[in-house]
Amino acid sequence: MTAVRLEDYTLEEIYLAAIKSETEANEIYTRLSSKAGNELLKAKLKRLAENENTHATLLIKMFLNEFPGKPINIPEKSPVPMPGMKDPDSASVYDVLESAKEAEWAAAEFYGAFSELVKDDNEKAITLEIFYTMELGHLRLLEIELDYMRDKSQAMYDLAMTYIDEILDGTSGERKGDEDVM
Amino acid sequence: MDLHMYSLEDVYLSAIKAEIESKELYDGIAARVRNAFLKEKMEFLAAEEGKHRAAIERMHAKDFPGKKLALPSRSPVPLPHVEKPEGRKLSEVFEMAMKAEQAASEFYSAFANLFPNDQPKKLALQYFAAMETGHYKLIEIERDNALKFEDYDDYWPMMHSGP
Repeated sequence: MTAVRLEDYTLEEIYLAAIKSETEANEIYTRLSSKAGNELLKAKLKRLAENENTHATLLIKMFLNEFPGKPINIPEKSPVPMPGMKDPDSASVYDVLESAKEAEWAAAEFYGAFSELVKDDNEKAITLEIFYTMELGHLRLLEIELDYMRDKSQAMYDLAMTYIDEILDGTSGERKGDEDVM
Repeated sequence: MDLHMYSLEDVYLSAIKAEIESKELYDGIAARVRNAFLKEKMEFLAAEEGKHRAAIERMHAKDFPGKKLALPSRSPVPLPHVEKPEGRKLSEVFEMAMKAEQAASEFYSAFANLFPNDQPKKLALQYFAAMETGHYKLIEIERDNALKFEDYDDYWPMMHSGP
């Protein structure tokens, strides 16, 4: 499933790397969703942020189950090298999404390897495999968004998103509230 | 797919009908499954289909001011019919959803081609086509999981205490 090797790290280091990565991804997606200019992308980014937060929460539960009473000290530098995401304050949305794509792929590989490492604990292994497939799902969504952005100019992308926002907001002056049409 | 042989209104009605059916399918799956993560994904897909429907309805309103939407029982443009998920294996339901998403993506690409002189609308419909492709890929992952794991929805007890 994966080329990542986690055998050289302690279980604690692996958990800390995972929690750190998820926490940072949550923070970046949350900030990027504030920066995103259109509602559809904003909603997708908020969902990604929520997913990463859920992963972090479950990983913390798993850590505490594995190391009862042990404090969770997230190191400044990840014990397992993982690609970081660009800062939305200093990079364009496109560049942040590109870096996120790399990070999601690395995260998927990481969870694939983590799952292999704990394969004797069925519940834990499958939980981590679910994380693997979720990160893969994130990657696919980002690829689609980036493909569209690449295919169009920035001006065309903005034109499409502005149009969709106006249509969804009903600010283009047409009738609103056509939900009950059946 | 070429939609030039259909009236514009028929194309709109087909799009809206397909979005309603897809949303109902995802809502139906979300209501049925116990795996919290799978439920969340289905709710996300249902929400996106709901937004597409809202957008298409308002585009229709813009193109046909004052005209009331009257959805036919059968789609004017033949698209894969989405059956109710009850009584089917999850992998089969996902296969059905994948076919619908693929057709929806092709449909929106063809829909966009009907507006060569309306750039914003053309681009928006192309974006919807891309989103449907994204849905296809998400469902493909779930389909693979459903085929890989027996009793897919019951297999991950830890997930039931998830989000």
